Amino acid sequence: MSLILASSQSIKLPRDLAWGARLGVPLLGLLLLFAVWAAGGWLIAHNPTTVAFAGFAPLPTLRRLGVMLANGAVVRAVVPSAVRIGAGLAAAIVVGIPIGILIGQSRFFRELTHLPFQLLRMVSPLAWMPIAILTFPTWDGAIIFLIAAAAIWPIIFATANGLKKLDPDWFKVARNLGAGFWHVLAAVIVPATAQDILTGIRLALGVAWIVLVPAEYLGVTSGLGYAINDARDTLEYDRLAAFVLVIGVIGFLLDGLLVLLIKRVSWARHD
Amino acid sequence: MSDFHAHIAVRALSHRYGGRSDIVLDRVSFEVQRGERLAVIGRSGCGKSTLLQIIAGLVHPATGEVTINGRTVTAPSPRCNLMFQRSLLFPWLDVAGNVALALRFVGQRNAQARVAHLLQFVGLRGYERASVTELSGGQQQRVALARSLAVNPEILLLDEPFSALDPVTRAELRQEVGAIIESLKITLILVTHDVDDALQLARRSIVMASHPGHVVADVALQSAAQGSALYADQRALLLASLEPEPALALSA
Repeated sequence: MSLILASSQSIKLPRDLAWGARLGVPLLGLLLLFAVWAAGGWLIAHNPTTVAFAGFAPLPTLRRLGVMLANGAVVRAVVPSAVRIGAGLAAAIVVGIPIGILIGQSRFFRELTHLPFQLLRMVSPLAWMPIAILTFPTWDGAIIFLIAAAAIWPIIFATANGLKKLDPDWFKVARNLGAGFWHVLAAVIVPATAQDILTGIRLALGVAWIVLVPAEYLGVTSGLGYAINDARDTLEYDRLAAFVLVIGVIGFLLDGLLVLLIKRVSWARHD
Repeated sequence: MSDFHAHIAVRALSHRYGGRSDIVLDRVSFEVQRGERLAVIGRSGCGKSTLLQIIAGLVHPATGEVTINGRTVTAPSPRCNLMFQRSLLFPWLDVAGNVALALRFVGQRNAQARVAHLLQFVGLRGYERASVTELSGGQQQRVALARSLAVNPEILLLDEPFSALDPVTRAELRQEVGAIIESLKITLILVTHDVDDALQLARRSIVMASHPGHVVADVALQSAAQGSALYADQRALLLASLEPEPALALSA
């Protein structure tokens, strides 16, 4: 019992130490990841059956990444992917937020859409690939559709969830002060649910980023997915690993940006 | 028509909430003159708040009607503003933002000077940038009052605005609100279950009984200092009228 009590109590560190610990622990995690990668690379390089894949190790990867940054290969691969992600996410936001608001506001619409949406969201976005190819005249269109199909669900459900938490009397106050529909939308619904919507967009971005690479295996000749596929085909495993690293870093930075935005718009839910 | 000069006329108002068999209000009728200060008192569940929301145009009555300046109320209007029991401030906005938003709703932009004036009016000058969630209950109600007054209402409807406050803050705020209402000369309908609220803020009181909510008395109140014999007499009268079976036949 005493052991449980002791373990459940947090240890108070001095302020400077606490800051150090706050920065140090995540860095330690990163270092551990790097150590596992380095160990894997060493094992691959020292096994005669896998030595051809030695380019996956940290050192060749980082060396190749430096070259790719210098010759613009990273930018050339990232820009088309960023455009596709941006377009897919924008489509998911434009369609998803109004649907989320309708679900959050209207019981009829919530019940009407519950079963179809639960069924559709369980379908892997990549399962739509053949239909996307048949439907869209360009490969880019098909990829953007797949990204949007993956990203829309977190946005819809996070928005609807945010709406459910709103105090219904806020709408009465707004209407009583002379607010029309657009006033209520812009001045009450959007700011009150901004943190939930952004949380949905954060989740959507993660899903979209995951879907991007396999989606870019489709006929296109640009983007990070294509670059990875191409590196595999040409047996340039250091280039392949460098692009994987780029995907991870960009995803991490975008997620960090959204976390900052969420913190900026968040407010305590009490009156 | 008898209500030709009435600012607000409530005629044979009955209401029940959808799907429920209980009648909340049963043929409630009364009139309020321009600049009059009326308190509607009654026990919990007598339909006071519903009555106020119907007057504000936020709830449509099952039967009967409310007219303001001779026009039937069909929708909410900033000219008839309801201040709720809870402050219902928007927590993503600071104090000034909450008041400024009301001005934005009625089309007034660049309202900084007006916001500053209103906050000074309710004793919150210097709190412009404060978060509303960090204010005390009394301060939050002051911001809500400033927000209600921002839209220049002809009629102010107060729904138990002091009930969530401690007794000291309640007495202070009641006095300040009384002074503000007096200085603005606007029509006031106050809903409360506290006879002191009625005696200190109103010059007339309607007493309601419940199941279903109906008017049992309409009492003229005289201005009297708290602690005076007249105040005590009026207080006793209102308290007696709140008993489940009113023993006294009251008249204006």
